[in-house]
Amino acid sequence: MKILTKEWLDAFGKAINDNPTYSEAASWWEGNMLCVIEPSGPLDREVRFFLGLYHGECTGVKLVEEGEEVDVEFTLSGPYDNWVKIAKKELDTIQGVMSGKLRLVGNMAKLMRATRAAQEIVNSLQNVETEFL
Amino acid sequence: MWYFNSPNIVYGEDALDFLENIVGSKCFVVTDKNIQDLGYLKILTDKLEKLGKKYDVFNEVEPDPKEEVVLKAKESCLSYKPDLIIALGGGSVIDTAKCVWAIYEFPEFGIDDLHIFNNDLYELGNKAKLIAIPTTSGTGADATYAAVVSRYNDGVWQKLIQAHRGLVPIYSILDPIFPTGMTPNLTLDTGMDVLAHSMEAMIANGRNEFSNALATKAIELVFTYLPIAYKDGKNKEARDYLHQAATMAGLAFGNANVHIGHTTGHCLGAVFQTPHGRCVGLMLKYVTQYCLNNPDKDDPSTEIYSKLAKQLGWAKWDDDDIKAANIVIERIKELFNKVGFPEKIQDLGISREQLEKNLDSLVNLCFQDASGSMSPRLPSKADFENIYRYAHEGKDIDF
Repeated sequence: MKILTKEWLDAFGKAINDNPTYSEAASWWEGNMLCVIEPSGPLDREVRFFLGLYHGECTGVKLVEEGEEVDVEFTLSGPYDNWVKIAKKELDTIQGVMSGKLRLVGNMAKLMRATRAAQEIVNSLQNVETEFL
Repeated sequence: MWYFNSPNIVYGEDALDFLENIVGSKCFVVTDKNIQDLGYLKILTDKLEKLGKKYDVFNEVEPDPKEEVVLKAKESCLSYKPDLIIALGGGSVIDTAKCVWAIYEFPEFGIDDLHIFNNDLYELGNKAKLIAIPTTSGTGADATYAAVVSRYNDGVWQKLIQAHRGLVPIYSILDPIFPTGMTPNLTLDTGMDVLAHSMEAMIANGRNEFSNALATKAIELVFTYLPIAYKDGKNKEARDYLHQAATMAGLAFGNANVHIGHTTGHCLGAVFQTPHGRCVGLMLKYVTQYCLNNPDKDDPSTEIYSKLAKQLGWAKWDDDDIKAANIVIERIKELFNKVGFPEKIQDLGISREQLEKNLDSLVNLCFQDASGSMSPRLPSKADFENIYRYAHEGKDIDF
């Protein structure tokens, strides 16, 4: 599946829900997330997608249109090339933010308790057949 | 690109004399009443007086420092306007001083602003330099960029782990005069904390060549000198080297992280109010076995511990990696036996019923502990439960 398409995003949401360890690690988590993929490398336009995350479940995913507002607690932004490194597990999400390769806006204290849950979201992505740009 | 953060380190006998060379004339000393009663504060203030440096003392830090105490210390610091902040004490004192240092520089910040993504914190040190003088040989807080502060929230005490690379003290002064007064049990608990920091840092996800070099040396020093310092707390050589080992381990895990030994140990300590070093030391061999049993053959833990065993002369260079890595476990068991360190959770006076009753809470806490995500092998809920059960009985991890 081609990355950042609706089909791919639906599969990503399903993979999160099919990952029992995500469900265990995030059983306490309440907070939707907006991921902003900025143009870099082969991506020539900004792509945003929403992840609904509540009590260990992915409650919904959707591509967010330009100008569309969504209610989220966290926003994670960065260039496409760095997102690809995260997806391929070449870069840890938290290390990515710490080194400035990704930027995060939201309650940091809460996020620091969710590093394992974040890791399991990335692990879920390994089960999605992904065709990169 | 990655980083290695370190304070300037001054160590050995009379290291305290180095204060003379640090520019600054007005010192805000953060400490606790125990340090004052032990006479350590007087050693420092006598030195400051001799050097003609003025000082003010905040001595209200308690174990597991509370947010309101940190904020009270900040107010005293803001009104005194020092150009040096000196932390004299254990981890709680040093953590408090790190927060005070940061909020003194940026008075508009609260505790929640001291997080890893706040780039303003790279600018620390304009108003004052932070000098850490550890009095125990364990936490490594003098060399790390984390500070643990407790906050009462919704009826429970929550431990906030605030961290930023800018929070590393400017100087760490390791004078062995201070740890010489540690009791045998405190020597043991803190020494095992050093061992846990080093062993975990070697295979944690942030491991790097700098951290592994320091961790290897710290492990060697703990195995050599902990039994000596435990038996003879006045042995200067043992105290000096263990003090250095604690900071080496702090540098190692501060830059590489710890993993599920600290995760499971933190949570055990929080639920059953057991000292930190005892918990993480006790869990060490179980989590090490768990990592060595990783079915993922790309996990380098076995190779890393094999090399450790060979470098320390515990295994032969032509031993296979699995055999050599498992010698590390045997050496940990031998060390525990030698000094009478508890080997299983039941040795802490916790019954199986108590463990089972609290297992859900323990595992939920484990999933919310940031160090847990740094493990080369990530436990599921069932794995966490079984690690605790095996550790309770003292059984080798076979899964």
